[in-house]
Amino acid sequence: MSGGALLGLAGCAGVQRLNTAGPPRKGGTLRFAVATQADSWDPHAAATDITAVLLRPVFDSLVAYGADGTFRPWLATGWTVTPDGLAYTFRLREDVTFSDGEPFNAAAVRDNLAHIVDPATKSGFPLSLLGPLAKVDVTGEHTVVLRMSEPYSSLLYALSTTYLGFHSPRALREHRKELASGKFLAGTGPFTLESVVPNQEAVFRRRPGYRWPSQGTLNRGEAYLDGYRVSFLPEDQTRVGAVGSGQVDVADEMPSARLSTLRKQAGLRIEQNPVPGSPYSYYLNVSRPPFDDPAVRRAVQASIDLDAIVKGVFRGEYQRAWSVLTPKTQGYAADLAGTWGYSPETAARLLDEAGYSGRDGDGYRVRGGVRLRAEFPFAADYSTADRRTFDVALQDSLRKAGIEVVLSAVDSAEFASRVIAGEYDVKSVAWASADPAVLRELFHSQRFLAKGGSNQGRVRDPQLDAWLDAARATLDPQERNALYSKVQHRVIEQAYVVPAYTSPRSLALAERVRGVRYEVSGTPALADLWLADS
Amino acid sequence: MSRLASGVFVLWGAATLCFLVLSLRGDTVSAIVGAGPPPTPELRARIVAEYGLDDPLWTRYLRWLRSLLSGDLGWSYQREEPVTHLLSSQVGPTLQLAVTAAVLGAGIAVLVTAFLTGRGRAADTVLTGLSVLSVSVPTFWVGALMLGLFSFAIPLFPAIGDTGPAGLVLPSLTLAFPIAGALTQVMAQEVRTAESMPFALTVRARGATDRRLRLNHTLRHSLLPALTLTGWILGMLIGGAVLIENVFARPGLGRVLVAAAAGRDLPVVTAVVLLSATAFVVINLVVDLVLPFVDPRLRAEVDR
Repeated sequence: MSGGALLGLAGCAGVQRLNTAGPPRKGGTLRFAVATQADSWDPHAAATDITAVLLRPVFDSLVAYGADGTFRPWLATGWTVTPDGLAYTFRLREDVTFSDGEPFNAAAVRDNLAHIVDPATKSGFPLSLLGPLAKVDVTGEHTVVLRMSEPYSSLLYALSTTYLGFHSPRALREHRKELASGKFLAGTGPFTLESVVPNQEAVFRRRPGYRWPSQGTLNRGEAYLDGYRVSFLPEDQTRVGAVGSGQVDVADEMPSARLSTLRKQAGLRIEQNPVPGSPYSYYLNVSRPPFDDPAVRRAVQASIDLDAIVKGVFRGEYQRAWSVLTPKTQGYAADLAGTWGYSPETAARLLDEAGYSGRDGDGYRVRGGVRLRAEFPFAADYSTADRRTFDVALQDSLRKAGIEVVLSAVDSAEFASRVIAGEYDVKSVAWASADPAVLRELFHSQRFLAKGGSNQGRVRDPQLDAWLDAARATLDPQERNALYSKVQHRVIEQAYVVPAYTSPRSLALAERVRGVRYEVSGTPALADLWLADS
Repeated sequence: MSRLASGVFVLWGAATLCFLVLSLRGDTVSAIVGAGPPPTPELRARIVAEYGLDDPLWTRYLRWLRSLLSGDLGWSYQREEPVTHLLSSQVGPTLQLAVTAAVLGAGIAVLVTAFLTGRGRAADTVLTGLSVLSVSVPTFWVGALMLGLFSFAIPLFPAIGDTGPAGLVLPSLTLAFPIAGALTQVMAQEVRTAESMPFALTVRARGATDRRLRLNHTLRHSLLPALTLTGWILGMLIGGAVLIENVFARPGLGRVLVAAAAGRDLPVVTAVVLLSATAFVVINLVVDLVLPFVDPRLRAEVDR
């Protein structure tokens, strides 16, 4: 499991640092600057990545990724799966309590899963993680059975995410309206959320008496930090300046352009972590012209000099992508490297063959008097400067090939309505996820955007559907990876997508931050962190 | 009375405009669901039913107007809490920032006008140049510069969301610059005009110094156009707060408004717009009442 491998690697690095720096010191409040605000503080209703990142230390999971790539016990001491893959029986720890004093047991698991499924929760992404979950049976005080309507190989992964963490039953009973705003949260984790000031900060405190970390976590007891204070700093230069001047200890999402300067700064270090999932990619809408024609799509793939653009835009900090999964993702098809890419001659030949042989006054290719033109709307709020620069470079490449790309910034609600209606030709997205099943969301014909899925290119491909369904059903990791590899090859070969670049999560850390181990998402595991005397 | 009526009309117009702009374009359901993949058809149907989104536009408008009139600002779509809750913690910081910036801006303008204008053509040119510069340089840029200089390079002031006095210095100065610039320009012009008037000659003939003339007589003339600029200043403060709050990572209505507008969070946008409109109406009302005290000629008109 790539997530497990990640944890393992980072864990080793953590051990080395601990050995050279003496025993961890207890105390201190870590100041952490992040770029985006959480859309909801209820992990069951959240869609933003940052919610999962910040609440990881508040909500424990049933299982965790192990360093060796398997799943490991956490709140569940063990589990069994029936041979047909339809029933998962979990035995739970008996000594776990929520921060409001309620006991953690099978009924709490059942109530939480019911909360996610309840339409009133308005859960989108967390609900989709549950897949074909049909029924939850409490078979003992500390035994719970999750029954599926069909085999679902991503269940353990789903259960290891923050999104499927557990609220105390009292919170679900008495404070449902206060979960999303963070006014009342009670989980089982080593920290508690103390307060939230919207758009400004969130403050977390150590929970006394915590002693049930996942296997693989170095710190077996209470967190070292007294707490952490998260500031929401959307401006890149404010985040950079804040960490550079010592006003915060850790700053998230350092812009690529500032990395080389920051590396030279005394008292700071830059750590980069590969993010598993899908890299920043351009999806071509195959349900309408011009990209319903595979030749035109392949011409797009061949028109973009990705190596040069990635190098130019990111100053050598990021890598070009070869597949629609990042190299750190389980099942990544490494053999795709070098199989496709920049070839203006090929692009010209393909476009000629597709009938776009004429040119208009502006130099764009035309067929039957119609210009080869692609609409590329994007939601300005959910974009970054890096991505915008890259989009413009893409637009420029395609202009040289005679393809007009119309970039338009729209607000998120406008964007959503266009996307649902399929009124676009190009749509870009990057998707962090440790589970290669993200491919199902991106390419299965049952996962169109209008149905709550993320099939960006409106692809209907029976061959892909068959492989994706088989991968979801099999419990054999090797078979699963082989199927996902086929999917990756086919989406490139059919030119449904142009993967662009993979960016690591870049953090700037002050010298006094010690014991750094990283979560799958590339953010620091706060329960292991400690602050040296400064 | 007619003033009050026109105030109410402004508020109603602002609210209605909010409703129309945010309801007619885009997808309200997506706005309610927020970031991430679009909602499933089932979730969509539930939200449409819960918020009555399939009702005709005018039904929704009337229902919404009725709840506004009853003082209910509603629930934030995005943050899932009452709008009043959301805003109550954010009004204070914005008010602090705006008031400090306005006082600083006006203070600088009065000082500059009183002591630095009329020192010859060259000085006037420099002053005019500076004030034009302060109005035309983007607030965002000035803020970033201040932050870079006085927080990151020379750590005098905190950069991050400090709501104490130290955290107020840089953002309020940044916001005060364009206000001081514009006010200085207008006031200096007015002072020059007043000092070329016959009464100035009379005052001088009685043996008053230039400074005495300025402080006791002509400066007062310049307050009149300055006061009538309050509408513009208010706009400057509201618009500037949005940028400043982002750059300095301060809490406040500006950031709330940006997030809410981007996400079509109608109840929050409306509340912020109504708040600003109310401030606008109230301040203009106060200015109209204060003007006669500054300028006795207006008092005479009122008396007649």
